[in-house]
Amino acid sequence: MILFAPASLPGLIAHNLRVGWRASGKGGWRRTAVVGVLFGLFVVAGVGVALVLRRVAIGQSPAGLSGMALAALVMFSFGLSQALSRAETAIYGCDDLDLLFSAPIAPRVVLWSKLVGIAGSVLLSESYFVLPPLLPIIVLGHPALAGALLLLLALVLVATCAGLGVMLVIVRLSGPRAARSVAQVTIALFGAAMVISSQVIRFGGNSGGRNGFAVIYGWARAHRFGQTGLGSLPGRAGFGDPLAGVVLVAVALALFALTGWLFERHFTTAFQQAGQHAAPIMHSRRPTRSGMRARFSASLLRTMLTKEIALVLRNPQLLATMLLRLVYVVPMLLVLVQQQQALLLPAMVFVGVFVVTQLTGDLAWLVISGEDTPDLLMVAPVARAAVGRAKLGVAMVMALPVLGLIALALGSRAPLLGALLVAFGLAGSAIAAAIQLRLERPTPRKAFGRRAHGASIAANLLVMAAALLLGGLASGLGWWLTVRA
Amino acid sequence: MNEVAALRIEGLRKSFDKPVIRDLSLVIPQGQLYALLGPNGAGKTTTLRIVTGLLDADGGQVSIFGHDIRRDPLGAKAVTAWLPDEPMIYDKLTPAEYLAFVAGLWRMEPGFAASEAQRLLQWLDLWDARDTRCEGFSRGMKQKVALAGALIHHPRLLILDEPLTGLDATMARSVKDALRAQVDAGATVIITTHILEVAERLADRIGIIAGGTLLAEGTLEELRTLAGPDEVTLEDTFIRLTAR
Repeated sequence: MILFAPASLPGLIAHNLRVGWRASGKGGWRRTAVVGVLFGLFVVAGVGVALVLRRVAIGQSPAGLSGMALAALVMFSFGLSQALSRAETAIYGCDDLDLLFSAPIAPRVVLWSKLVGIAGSVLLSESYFVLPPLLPIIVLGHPALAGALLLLLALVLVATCAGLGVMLVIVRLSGPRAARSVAQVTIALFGAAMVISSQVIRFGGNSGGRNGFAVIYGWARAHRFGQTGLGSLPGRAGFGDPLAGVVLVAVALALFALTGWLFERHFTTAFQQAGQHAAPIMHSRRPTRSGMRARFSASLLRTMLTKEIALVLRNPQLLATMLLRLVYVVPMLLVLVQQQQALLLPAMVFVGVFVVTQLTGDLAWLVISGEDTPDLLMVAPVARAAVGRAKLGVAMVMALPVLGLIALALGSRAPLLGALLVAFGLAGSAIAAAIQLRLERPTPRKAFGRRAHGASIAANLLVMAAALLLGGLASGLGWWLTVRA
Repeated sequence: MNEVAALRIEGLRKSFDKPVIRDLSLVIPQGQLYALLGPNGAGKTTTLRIVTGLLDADGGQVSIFGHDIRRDPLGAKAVTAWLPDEPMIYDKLTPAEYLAFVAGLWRMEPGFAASEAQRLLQWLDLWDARDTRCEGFSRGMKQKVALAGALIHHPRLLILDEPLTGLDATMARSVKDALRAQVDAGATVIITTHILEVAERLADRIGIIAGGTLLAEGTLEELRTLAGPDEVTLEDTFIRLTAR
């Protein structure tokens, strides 16, 4: 059914939405079912929260304004990461720009269709997290918070402009060859910006042992962040001030229009340069003639390990994701070196087992699911089970340094707990890899920039459940053996 | 002749939504370059994917140098190489690293594998690019890397699906020379191709497949005779046989 003229802006937007929707639907009924159940639970939880808050007064207090402004900042950070990712995909990852730019369509229409597509997908992502609790709260007693919907729309529009702007700045500064890698690392950093900053505040200053987010909120209140002047607009809009809401949306729309007008030429140039430099010449650092013999091994495990390590190290997006997971380890190590917190040590066993199990799950997903040439492994004279075992081993070996580091730090304070961490960490590692091995199917690495395309949510949930269970067991046992004794 | 066939297919059947391979039987002797021709959707690629163990057949038997692919899949795979039209390589690996990976999968002795890798890289003009990631390569270079990977473990049966697709004339010539050299060295090569001139010039025997069955098989002269007395080119022969 054709609703819009094919080469018109609405037609292209509808086309982008349809293609995006179909791409997001990949994964079969199991993924759809798991997502549906999770979303349903989230909605139920949202209704529960709304019922609890039904008789609680939520208004435009100074603390509320600061809280709303901080929430807007978090949503903007998340939206910026999403928009940057979509802009990166629009320039480097879509196969349709060749067709669109070679068609008799004005480049401006193409850019606008992409821009609206980016905004739409970011809005969808943010709505997924915000609306299930927000809508019930609005309906069940707090209609003024409907202003938060306008705030969300404005934030998404501004984040889209900023995302495209940052992407084009990256292309300009780092050059087309490195732009994609730099962008992927930047996306990961923006996505984790709030977590990283909260951890820096938590352990970098005089936080008094409070949670990093609590420290930030305290600072915001003390410094009247988001309470006065133009800075109060997000808070006021969120609490239902119609003028503030309209002003924010109007400014966001103007910025959106300005971005489309301003970036048209830069976007086209970035795309053309991407086409010219999509295949950079990258040389290995390995020695040449003398290194040939050292590269060959008859061991299947070593062969797979060498390949996987090379592939991970050469994919900045994956590497950034892996490194960011380690960000969560740093606070734990800082706790361990603080001598006065001995009672917390069994809890550190939990965190250690949890992190290592999750990390191995990620790595196992990568080596099992992210396989560019599954046919090569199928035609090789190696049993599938042997390949599976080798991949399982590779994931565990790659996670070992992290386990070793945490175990060393913990073992220096409490050797028994260190040993416990190693035992349960290895078990968690093996279970996580086995779950991924059982549930995942090979997908070319380049085909999924985001994990949802390649990984089954069921596998991730099972790995998380295993991590929680083993971490809890290890921690409980550690507490029983040390603190209680 | 008591010599075991390089490839023996008997009564092969495979259906997806509809039957794709219908009771296909085929015997390819050792030491030949065999071209499998057929129109689009004839079942060529499906047949070869079953032979290489990438697809399970619904019925029938396949053996490679006497190794039944169901009972002894690893034995069959150990002597076979598969080169599809899309090269099975890793863009982020260099040719040297890729060959090391393939050699590891085939459990080659490391010293021998390294010397073979060097020989192949030099022979295929890839030596200077051995430490360059494949992502920057042209399609022809990628195809040569994949060919090196297929040859490094000295397969007795080399199966190629449309190996010349997208290659320029120079690159196509070097691939054809490489295939001929393999046959001269005693290996058996099976190719599928849409380029009839390639089959005409290169193949020792030609099989024409359509609708999942083998319509005709033989040398070029035998096929011409089969198609009728007035035919002169393989193209005419092919069109007449597949139109029946």
